[in-house]
Amino acid sequence: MSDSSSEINFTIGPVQGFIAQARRTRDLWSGSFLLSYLSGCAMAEIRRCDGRIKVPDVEGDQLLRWIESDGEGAPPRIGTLPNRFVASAEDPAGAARSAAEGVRSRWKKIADCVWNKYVEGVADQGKNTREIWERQVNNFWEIHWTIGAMEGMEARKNWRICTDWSDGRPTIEWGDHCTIMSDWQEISGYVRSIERKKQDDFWKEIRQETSGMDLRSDERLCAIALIKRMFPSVAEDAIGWEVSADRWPSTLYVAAIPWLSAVIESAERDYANDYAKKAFSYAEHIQRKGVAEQIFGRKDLFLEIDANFYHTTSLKNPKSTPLKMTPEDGDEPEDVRRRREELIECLEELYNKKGKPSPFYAMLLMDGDNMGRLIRESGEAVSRALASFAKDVERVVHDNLGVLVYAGGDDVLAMLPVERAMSCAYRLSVSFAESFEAQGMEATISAGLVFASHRVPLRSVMREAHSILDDIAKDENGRGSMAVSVLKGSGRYCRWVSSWKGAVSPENEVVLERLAKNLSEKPDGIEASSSFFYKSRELLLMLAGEQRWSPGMFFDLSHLGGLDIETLLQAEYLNALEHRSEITEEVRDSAVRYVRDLLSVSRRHRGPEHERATGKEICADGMLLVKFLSQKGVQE
Amino acid sequence: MIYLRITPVDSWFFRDGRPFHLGEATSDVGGLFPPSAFTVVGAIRAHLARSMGWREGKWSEEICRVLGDGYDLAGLRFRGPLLCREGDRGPEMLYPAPLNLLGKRNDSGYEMRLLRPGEEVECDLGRVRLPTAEKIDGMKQLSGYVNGDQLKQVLRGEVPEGRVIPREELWGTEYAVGLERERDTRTAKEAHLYSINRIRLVRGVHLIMGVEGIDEGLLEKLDGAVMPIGGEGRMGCVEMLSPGKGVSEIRQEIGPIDGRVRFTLVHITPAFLGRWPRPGESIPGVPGEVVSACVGRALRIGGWDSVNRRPVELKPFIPPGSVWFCEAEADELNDVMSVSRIGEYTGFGFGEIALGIW
Repeated sequence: MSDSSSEINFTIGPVQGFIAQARRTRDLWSGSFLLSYLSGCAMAEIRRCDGRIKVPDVEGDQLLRWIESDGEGAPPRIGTLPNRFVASAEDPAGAARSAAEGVRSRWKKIADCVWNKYVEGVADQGKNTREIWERQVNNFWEIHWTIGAMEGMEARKNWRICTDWSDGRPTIEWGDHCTIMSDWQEISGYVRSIERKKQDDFWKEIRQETSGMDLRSDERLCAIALIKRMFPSVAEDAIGWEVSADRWPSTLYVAAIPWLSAVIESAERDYANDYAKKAFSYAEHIQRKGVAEQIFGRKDLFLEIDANFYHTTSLKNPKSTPLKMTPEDGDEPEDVRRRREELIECLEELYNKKGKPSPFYAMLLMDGDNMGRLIRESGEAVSRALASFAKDVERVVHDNLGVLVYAGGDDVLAMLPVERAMSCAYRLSVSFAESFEAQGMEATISAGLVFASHRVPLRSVMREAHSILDDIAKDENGRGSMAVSVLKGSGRYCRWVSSWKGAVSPENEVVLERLAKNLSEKPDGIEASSSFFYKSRELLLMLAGEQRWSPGMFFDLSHLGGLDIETLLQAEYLNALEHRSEITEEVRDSAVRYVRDLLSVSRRHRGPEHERATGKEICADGMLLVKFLSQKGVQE
Repeated sequence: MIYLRITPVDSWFFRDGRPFHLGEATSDVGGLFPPSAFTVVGAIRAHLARSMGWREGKWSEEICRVLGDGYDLAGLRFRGPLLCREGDRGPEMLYPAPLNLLGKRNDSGYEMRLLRPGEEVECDLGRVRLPTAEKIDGMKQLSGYVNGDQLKQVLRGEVPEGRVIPREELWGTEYAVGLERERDTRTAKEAHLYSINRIRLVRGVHLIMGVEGIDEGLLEKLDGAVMPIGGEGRMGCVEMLSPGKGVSEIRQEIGPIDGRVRFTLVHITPAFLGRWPRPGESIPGVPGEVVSACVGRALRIGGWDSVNRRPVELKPFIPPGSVWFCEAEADELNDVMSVSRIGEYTGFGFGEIALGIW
């Protein structure tokens, strides 16, 4: 970039601390959107001071238009502006100060709206609630800016001191902590171990203010988490437009998307809608308006019920699926219990016809590689490339039946059904590279993809996604990599990593997904696969001389010299099949191809900065991932 | 000072600040490792109190006189906890990698650079010298550990030889599920299911804690002791190291240049400062002023007050590895050289720093 003396580098944080600490998908969306909105407020303020936003390219950005009260058409519902940007202005320091002030005042307005609507009337039942609220609201954001070359911002990030801290340091938080953001005190101010009733009464009142559905009975939140949770319902007053947050599907709903699609496209559609009618008549507040339209582009009663009603396991638990007259504690009355049994029977009937929905979904987090260097070298061309990529993101995610949570700059956050998540990530990586190629640059994006059971807390899923993206994909494997992790209720099942190049076939298919599809189409194969995959892992472990397997472990077998692993694994595969199928020449040939493909995706494929892109080490987790994908995550 | 080596019998659980109440389903409660000095000192004092006859409730006056109570340590003084690993050349003390050390992975390990105050930059802190270096594209702060020799190199302003030890070579995290069962049905009791992240040290890795001010008779009770430490009453074995063995002070000799003393303070253990100094301000108890710094995100440390049955306030500590770049007058050199701990709760082991140059 040319003259940098008028250049402003601006960031708002903490990103992970604000977004990833979420309990519901709505919190996740709310956090992403609010951060993007506040960044947009800073940009708007700089433009008001006659400044210009250089990176990202914001000219066509709908969110910024609406922040500047210049929006047309449908109001934005996805955060599209990144939390860091580069701008220029004649008085850069003055513009940056105004931008920081702009962020603070808009945040304060949002906080005030939540306070006025939900907390003010209850505050006098709390213990120093107003004081706790103000302490947290006033000390949360870390707004940093530097003037001059971008290196200044890199340097600034090393010194996490904030000018805004009221006490010259981060706050001290007393009492009980928030059940979502554990570094902050919950706002009732009572200590549960000695003032339990007062605390419960306070939160009962707040729950009544929020009409009960927005807060669970065991949620006691800090100001920041409560603002995130309740922001959608004050959005019109706080930011000037409605955000339709009830359109956010739960993780369980995302997991069920392929099943829902199959049911609704089949002859069972009417049966399913009858089930939904029954569920609506037996339970209250279970309609999820707008979700189906957003994902499937159509309305159907069956697609608009709470996702817990797609699972018999949830239906067996009155806490997950309360019907009319289900008591908060204690047993259900006989007639309610009968209705519940009726619903379970109907759903099991549907399972008999169309199978079960998966309890697993995918969380995809992507982030461009070496973006700092690229922006320094050719800032505005990067802006154009990112703008072009951003236009493509929503389409690619939607085509793969996913839900986009956030897409700003080089960052993407989306939820997807299991089957198509890896392909979706790969398509996005291609789109990213092509957007840069069109500007005459080479660039890659990396991905962290977590397949998670809906039972795993969202916070843990987000933590895993960040960890595998930063530490495993980017840091360990190199740029242009995808790291995948499977989280079951019992912990991490497997972890796999590869460069994009190592993950796809010459025909641009994601090899693991193809192998899983092949396997799931052969019922015998699936049965055989369990023993084959686990035995193969044990075999590799033994050959490598390791004592204990841990997810993501690569085995170095170079000391074994002439031992042919491929032949060994083929024999294992055939052995596993032996008791179920006749071993014909055709089966033998297919085993050769199958094991070769499995080994090819199990080898180390590193990013281009490494001297040798393909290593000799083998990771057994590629095989476990195939097993998981072939079973479509049905078994938890 | 006598040094204790503490080794887990199995795995350990040191929880973070998430609420963890009986009767509420709580999932994925995180851990803090190494544990805070409050936790380790608490475990040691509780063990000593038990050996003096305490069983439950408040301590007797006699115990309080010897062991103090709460934040009052009576005559006791602690150092640590720090990590130690058995190596080929015997035990090796490990220190959090200083945050002015940046690195980027390459095929042979890490390429590293050391940050130091750069030219003045106008930013939200005013016109300040932010920490920087050349050729740091794609590099990030390294979150592992360095040994004593490597730390000494950093304190001399040199890039350390060898590699930074990643955390996963020292300990792993284990996900564990706990539940209470219904007596009749033997199924999981509603809202009594919890999951936690335990810590399992790699074989040969220990915690080291220094202690002084205990009379010999009582000190003997610690050698060979097996005591609960951290959450879930999980156990640790305590061994007393021979006198003279343990942690030595690490400090670089500093000389004035052009009438000024330029020095770095590297946090070895977390420190609590009433106010985090801004550029141009001084650190309490340290001569001179802060020129620049590499400071990590606050480490919030709280705990549980078992006597009053309430949480202890969650306080923001400066995380270990943080580095202050300071400057003082030449005639303040001796005062600079005498600094070894800063902030509050230093008697517990907090606020320990190593001194270097920049």
